[in-house]
Amino acid sequence: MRRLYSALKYVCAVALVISLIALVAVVAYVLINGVDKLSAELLFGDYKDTPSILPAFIGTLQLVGIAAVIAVPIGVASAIFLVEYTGNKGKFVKVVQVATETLAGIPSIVYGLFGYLIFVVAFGWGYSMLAGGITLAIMILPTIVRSTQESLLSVQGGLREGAYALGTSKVRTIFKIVLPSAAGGIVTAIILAIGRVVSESAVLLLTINMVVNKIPESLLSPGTSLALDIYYFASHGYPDEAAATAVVLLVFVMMLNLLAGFIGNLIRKNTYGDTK
Amino acid sequence: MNDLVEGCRMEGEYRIGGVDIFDKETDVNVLRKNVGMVFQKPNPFPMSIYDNIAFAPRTFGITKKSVLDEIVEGSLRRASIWDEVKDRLRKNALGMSGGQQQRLCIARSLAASPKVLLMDEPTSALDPISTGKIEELMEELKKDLTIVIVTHNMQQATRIADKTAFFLLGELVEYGNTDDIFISPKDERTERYITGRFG
Repeated sequence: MRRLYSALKYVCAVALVISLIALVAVVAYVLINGVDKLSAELLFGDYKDTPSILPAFIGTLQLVGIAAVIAVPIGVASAIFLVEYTGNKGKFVKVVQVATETLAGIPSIVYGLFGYLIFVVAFGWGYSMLAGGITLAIMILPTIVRSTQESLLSVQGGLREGAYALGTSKVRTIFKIVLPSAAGGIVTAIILAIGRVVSESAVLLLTINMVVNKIPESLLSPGTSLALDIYYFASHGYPDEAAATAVVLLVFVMMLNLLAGFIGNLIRKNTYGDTK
Repeated sequence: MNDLVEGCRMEGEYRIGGVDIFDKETDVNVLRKNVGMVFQKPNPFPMSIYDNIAFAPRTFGITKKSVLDEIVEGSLRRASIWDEVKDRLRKNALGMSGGQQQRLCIARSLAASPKVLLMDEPTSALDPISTGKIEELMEELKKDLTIVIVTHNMQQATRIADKTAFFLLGELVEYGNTDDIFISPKDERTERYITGRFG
């Protein structure tokens, strides 16, 4: 029996090594192929004739902005309603739960198709940053609702009762006690959702149409994003530029993840203080 | 507060100072201000000691710093914890020990200037020394407000209570002066309970 246990340990260790190799291989491949193409020209150069990711960079920021402005308030407010006003139980909550979980699991191309049929075609906006941004907002909404819900539920029950016992109204309890306690988790969830927006490509192919050599004039113009540029460069004979763009995207996502951890910890520390 | 508890059942009338507390006309937030509550488990808010105490006065619209300072100091003094915390009012309340947290929660209730203080087994999560401090505190406080304490500790009841009520499975079995209840109980169930022959 004991031998079996120690064998399990080695099986797990081998599995870990395989995961690490896969991860390192991807990052290393991208870095090796991409770094020497990372020039000022690619980053900020004239995008009309030579490949440059400046339009993609601006496009990505626009998409993040639109998606966040729409999805964050709606998502957080929905979660507050579910947890604070319905007690997070009952049939209605159950239905919403199943719906958000299902929506979170739908392949993004399906969201893309929806955005294309509704915003691009039915609303007549054409391929546009606005159509892309709103579709992305819809895509990350379930994730934000779900993780905000979890953060609110993890606020110690006694705190709410403590506030009510002092004659505090529900609204004040939510804003002064519950949200500050849950803020760390909520902010982390939002930043990770933004990470999904940054790395999304399927939705954008169908909604903003990959116009790589033009900075969008308005929110109703088509455009591109970093992830789309990788696809464009790779399929138009610029594999090294694609890798270089991938480096930028990797750094971007990594920074977002670090930022998520950092801000989350900062808020947690601010709320819970030097308790250690 | 008990309407927040699931499966809670009530009979009879509940009056505090002549006001029916379950009357639709009664403002529940004013009621909760007048009736402070201390919970079994200390539940300080995750903020500074000062902000914890200032929370209730701020809720009722007091924003002037000098007034708040006064309330904070007064409440902490009444909860006899001022000397321990006066140098770290800006520190997070969660860094305090369990007993200190519980006295902070008492101070927080006092800051709303309640007329009645409900204490739901306030010492059951605390060590004997902290328990002693809280009992001393209750002796002090009961001079100017009514304290209703729930306890499973009969010695505690005899030490601090003037009047005792014995509840069994939600039914009020007996109520009277503490001495009478513990020395010559009228109901057989009370006697069996206080002599430890129950259940």
